[in-house]
Amino acid sequence: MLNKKRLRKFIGPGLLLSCCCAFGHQVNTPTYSAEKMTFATVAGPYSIRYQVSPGFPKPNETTHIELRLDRPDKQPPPTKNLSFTIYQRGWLGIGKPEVVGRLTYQADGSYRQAIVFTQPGDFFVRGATDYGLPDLPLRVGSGKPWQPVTTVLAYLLLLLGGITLYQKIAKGSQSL
Amino acid sequence: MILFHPGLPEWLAIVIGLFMLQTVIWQMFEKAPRQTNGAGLSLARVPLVAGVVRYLTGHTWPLMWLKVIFATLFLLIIWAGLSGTPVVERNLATTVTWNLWWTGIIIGIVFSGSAWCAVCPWNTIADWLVNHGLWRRNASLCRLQLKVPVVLRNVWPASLLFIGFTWLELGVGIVASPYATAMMALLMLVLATTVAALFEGKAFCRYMCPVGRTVGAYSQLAPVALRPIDEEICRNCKSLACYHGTEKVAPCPSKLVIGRLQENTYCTSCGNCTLSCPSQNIAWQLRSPAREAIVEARGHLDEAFFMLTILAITALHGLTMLDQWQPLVAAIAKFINDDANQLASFTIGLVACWLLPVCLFALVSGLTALSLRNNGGGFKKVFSGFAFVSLPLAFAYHLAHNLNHFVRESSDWASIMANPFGRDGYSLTMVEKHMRHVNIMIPEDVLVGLQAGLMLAGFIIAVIVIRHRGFRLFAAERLQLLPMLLFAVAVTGFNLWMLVQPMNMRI
Repeated sequence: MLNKKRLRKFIGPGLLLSCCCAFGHQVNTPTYSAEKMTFATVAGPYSIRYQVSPGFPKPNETTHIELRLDRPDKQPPPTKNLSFTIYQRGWLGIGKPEVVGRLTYQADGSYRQAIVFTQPGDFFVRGATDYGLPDLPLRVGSGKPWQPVTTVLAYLLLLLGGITLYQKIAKGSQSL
Repeated sequence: MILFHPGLPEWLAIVIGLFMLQTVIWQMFEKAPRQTNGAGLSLARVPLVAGVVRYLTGHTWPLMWLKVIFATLFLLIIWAGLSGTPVVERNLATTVTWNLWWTGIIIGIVFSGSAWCAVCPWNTIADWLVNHGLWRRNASLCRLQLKVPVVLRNVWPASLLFIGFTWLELGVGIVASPYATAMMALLMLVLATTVAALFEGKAFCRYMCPVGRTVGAYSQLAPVALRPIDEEICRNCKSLACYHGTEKVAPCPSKLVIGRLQENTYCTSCGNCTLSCPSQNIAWQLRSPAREAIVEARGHLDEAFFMLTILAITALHGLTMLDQWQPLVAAIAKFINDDANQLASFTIGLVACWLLPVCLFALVSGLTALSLRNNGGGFKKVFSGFAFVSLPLAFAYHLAHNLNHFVRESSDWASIMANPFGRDGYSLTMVEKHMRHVNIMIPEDVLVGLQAGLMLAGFIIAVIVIRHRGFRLFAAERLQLLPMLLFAVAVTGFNLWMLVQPMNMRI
């Protein structure tokens, strides 16, 4: 049985761990041009070059995604235990992401995929590797600005409306 | 490829170091100071500006317009972040938030004290939403007016939020994402509104807001503050309208009586007191800088931890922008077998950087308490009484560091305001970045001189704080204060070392 004291011991590290799982440490910034978006980072012994073209993909247009892993010691690129999946971000970035495609391994050692996104939104490429990888960004169209705004507005409406209603009921019962 | 800002010349750091050494030796032989100069000058009594100051503090509309402008800009930032370009340097959300606001807010404290809090859009919009009015006092049913639970009536929540905010900024890297920046802004708005709807006064500003508490702490060093024009009028005041408010004007949200105010920490410069005072006796005052930290402010344990948190987090900001930081995180990642996200490693680095100055200060407090055990100096009293020394040290480095960002990374504001969403904008090329890097706002020598001057001023004020507080609180002087002086030397030395290193360009 967990008593209050023991529970408190778990809450701190638990929160910290869950936060670390929900987010990724941004170690670099993507570079955008009309033709392509590039993002370079390092994972374990690999330097990774991630490229999306066009630079600002739009829905119903073919988007080319390419990922290349190199080892500075000129060892051959890894082929085993590696897969790269394209996800659509979940609700407000904290919901469960949905799989929309995978990158395919090519003979030249890179991973590539041409894909047509049917709707705008925030996507990302996540690699399953021995070393892990930062999530690689991929925005199609102009994202979903209304999603967070409507969520916040709905919350505020509920909060302020709820309090007003509660106060009116409390006032009414006092005057009776 | 990453561009680096050049650091301070090494010889300048050595000169400052020698000066610090000389100051410590001088302090060993110098008697403790017996008196402090406490006279302030009310701007409402300065010829030429008196009329303007009285008009601005006596009317609602100037502040109201500023609030409307900042709230509109804030909403525009949210919308630009959510729907604008993901290119960091082209989006209004990231450029204004991280290049202008985050750096400018600290520089602004020097000139306007806690005035930022008066126009802060988080609080303004929350106030408008829950009060159903722009400024007049009213009995809105949207506020539950609950008392803040005793356990939360301190600045621990602000300390935790400050660390969390830094974790999001530097760890998750919301600085590099307009979308995440906008989400952060929305989150703060939700927090401010929720707390305003549930609790009485400005509980969010007073206990939770990391920015407000930082501004509040630093404004104890500011040379400007809202104060009575004539203290005698306040002494004889029977109405205490500043505390209770009037029929139209709300009471002081921080529950302060301006006539007895000695610490600026919780004053949000909201202007309620200037409007409600029946004698129109409250206005902006020029005063001796750092006077509060030197003599007037009383030590509290939660505030002491918050001040040390500012010191630690400020240093962490600098550290993460040095070339040495990433290998350090990578080494932690290798040690704990972290994945390439390295967030757990960064978190460990953050916690270590927070704990290190706190533990160091606890150690010097322990040593000082030991030498002052016959002067009534227990550990807790020494810890909270001397924690003010961290304020000038943190503020000086914060200003010097932010000055670098401010003058070297200034965006092309005309084009950003013309295209706040950054439509069809691409990342800056290396040539453009280099040009921005070269064309700094002020000459390089002036910048270096200012940074060196700030570090010196921070150290000198820290020594004054130690000497005055040491004598006033514990009748301590000379050798008894050596551990605290060495703490100031160590912190300034480390901050100087960071300023000497080349620094990463933020955006």
